[in-house]
Amino acid sequence: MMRCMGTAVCPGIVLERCHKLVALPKFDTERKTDAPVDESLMTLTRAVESLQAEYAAFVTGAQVGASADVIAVQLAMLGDEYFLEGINECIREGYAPEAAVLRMAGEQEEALRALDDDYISARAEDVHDLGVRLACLIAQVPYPSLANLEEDCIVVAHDMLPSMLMKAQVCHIRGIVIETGTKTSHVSILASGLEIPMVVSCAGAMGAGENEWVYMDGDQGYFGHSLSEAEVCQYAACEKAYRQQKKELQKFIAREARTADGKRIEVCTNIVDSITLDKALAYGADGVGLFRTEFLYMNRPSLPTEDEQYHILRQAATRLGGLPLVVRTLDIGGDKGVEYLHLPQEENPFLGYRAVRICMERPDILIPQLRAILRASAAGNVQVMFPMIAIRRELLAMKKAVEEAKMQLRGEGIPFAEDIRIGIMVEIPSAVVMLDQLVPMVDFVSIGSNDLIQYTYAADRMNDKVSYLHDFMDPAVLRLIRRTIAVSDEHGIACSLCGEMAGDEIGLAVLVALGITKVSVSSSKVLKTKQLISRLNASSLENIGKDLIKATDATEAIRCLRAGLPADYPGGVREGKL
Amino acid sequence: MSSIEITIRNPSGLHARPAAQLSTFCKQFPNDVALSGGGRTSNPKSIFSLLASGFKKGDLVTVTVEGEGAQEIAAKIVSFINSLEG
Repeated sequence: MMRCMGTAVCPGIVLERCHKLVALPKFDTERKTDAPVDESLMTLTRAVESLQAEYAAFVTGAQVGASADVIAVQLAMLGDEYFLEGINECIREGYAPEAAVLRMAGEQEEALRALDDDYISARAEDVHDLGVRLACLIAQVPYPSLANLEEDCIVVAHDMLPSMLMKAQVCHIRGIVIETGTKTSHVSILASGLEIPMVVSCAGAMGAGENEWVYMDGDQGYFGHSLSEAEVCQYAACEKAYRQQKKELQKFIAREARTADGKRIEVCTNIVDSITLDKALAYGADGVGLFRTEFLYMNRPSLPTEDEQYHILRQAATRLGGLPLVVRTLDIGGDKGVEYLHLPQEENPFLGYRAVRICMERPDILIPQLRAILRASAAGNVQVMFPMIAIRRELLAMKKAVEEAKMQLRGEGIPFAEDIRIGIMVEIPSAVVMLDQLVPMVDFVSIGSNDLIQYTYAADRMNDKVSYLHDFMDPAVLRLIRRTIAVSDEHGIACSLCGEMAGDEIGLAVLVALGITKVSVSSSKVLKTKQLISRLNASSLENIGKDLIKATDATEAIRCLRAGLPADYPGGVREGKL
Repeated sequence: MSSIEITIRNPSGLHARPAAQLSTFCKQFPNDVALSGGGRTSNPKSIFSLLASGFKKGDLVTVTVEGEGAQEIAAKIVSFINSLEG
C-alpha cells in the first residue's frame, strides 16, 4: 500500500472503490475571439440561463443551512446587473465569452477580498465557483461533478469546491480525500456536517487509480492506495471491526451511563452552537456541561447584543427540555476574532487580561450576557458558570453583577428563574487551595482540567519542550482534583470535570477512582464515554483512589490505577499526556 | 421620489443571504432604487453593490425610490428589510 499522510477532518474508517474527481479545467482569461459579438453574447445568455435553471432545480432539493445559503448568493450574483454588464463589456472588447466571464468574476473576487470584513471576503469563494461553472457551460467542458454517482465510492480529488459537494449524490460518498485544503475550509465544514469521513492536505492521493480499492482513516488522517490483495482483506477486516464498534456504541444512546457496579455517572457535553447541540441530543447526553459562549463573540465586527445571545440560549434551553444547560460567561482574551474589543497586546495572554478579569471592568459586556442568560432561564434549566476565578473578590463581583441584572429584569417585568444555579470553573490553583471558602458561595463547580494542568505545572500545553509536564496522571493534579471533589462533597455541592482528560480512557478511569460523578466531553465522545463507564467498577477504583494520591509519580499512579481496571480495558500504551 | 429611513435590525446586517434576498426583492420593481447611509450608497438590486456597502446591524440607512408609485414601493422595501432574518 502507498500511504499518504494528511489532516483528519471527520472520523471514520473506510475501505471502498476510488472515484477520482477530474481536475478543474484551466481557462485562458486572455483569449480573444473573432466570432461576432452578438454570437458571444448569445452564448453567454444561454449559459447563464442554463445555470440559473440548474440552481433553481437544486434549491428545491437543498438542505437548509450552508448549502441553501451558497445557492441563494450565487443565484443573486448570476442575476447581478453590474456583473452581467461587466461581462458584456469584456465581450464587446473582443474577449471570448468564457474569458470574459472569468475576468469579471476575477474582478469581483478581488473587490470582495479587498473589503475589511471577513464575512464578505469569504463570498469571493462563491464568485470564483460561479465563474468556473459558467465558463465550463460556455466551453461545453464537463464541470467536475459528483451529481451522477451511481455507486458507493471514496472521492479523491486535488481540490474540491463547496458547490461540488452540495450537488453531489451524497448517499454514495463514503469518504473524501483531497490533496489540498484545510480543516476549516468551507468544504471541510460541509463534509463534517454531513458526517462524511474526510482527510485533507493529503499529498499524493491522486496517485490512486480510478476504481481501485482504497483505504482511508479519518481519525488518524491518512489514505492508502495501490493495495495488495492481502491488504484489501486486511483492511476490509479493519473496516468491519470499526463498523461493529460504532454499532455497539449506538446501544448507549438511550442508556444512562452507569458503572459495571451500578454507580450513576452523568455524561454531559460541551457545545459551541446549535449544530453541536444537535449532536449532543442525538447521542443522548445528560445535558450540556459547558456552553462555550466565546463563539458568539468571535469573528464578527462588534459585540453580540443581548437579544442575539438570548435567542440562541433560549433555543438551546428549549431543545434540551429539562436537561441542564450550563452557560460559561465570556472566557476570552486577546484571541483572534475579537479585535473590536481593542484588548491590549500582552506578553502572556494566558496569564493576563481575560475572562472575568475583563468582565469585571466591562459591564457593557458582562451585564448584557448575564441578562441574556437570565432571560433564557425562563425557558429551561439554564445555569451560569464563571471561568478563571482566582480569588474570592472576583466571585463576589460576578455574583453582584448577577444581582444587578436580576434587579433590572425585575424592574422591567421580564421573567427569569430567580433560583438560577451559579457555579465556577475550578482551573486556577489558588481556587483549589481556597475552595472551602469559595464553595459556600456557589451551587456547583466544574474542574477545567486543561487549564488547571497548565497553571499547576507552569507549562504551556502548546509548547513541545515542556510537554512532559502535561500529564494528568501526575499526582499533583490528581491531588488537586481529589481535593476539589472532597471539599465539594463536604458542602453538598455538585462537582464535575470538563477537560480533555475526561475524553481519555485512562483519564476517565482515574476520575472515577477519584470520585467524580459527572463529566462533560465533546459530543463525538459521548457514546464512547458511556461505554467506557459501563466497563469500570466504581468501588474497586474508589478503593484505589486513596492510594493513587500517595503515588510519587505518574508511572506509579498508572500502575496503581491498573490494579482497579479490567484486564481488557483500553489505554494499554501509556497515554497520560495530552 | 420617496425616501424612508430605517435602522438595520437583523444580526448579520446585509451580508450574504439577506443581501441575496433583498436584491432579488428589489429587482421586481422597474424604478430606480438606492440604499444609502454613512456616506455610502448602494444599488440594492445588485448583490455585489450591497456586499460592498457592508451595511451592518444598527446602521441607519435611507431607502430612496424614484418615479411612479415611489412611496408605496419604498414602504414595501422598508418592510422587507425589517423582515430579514439571520
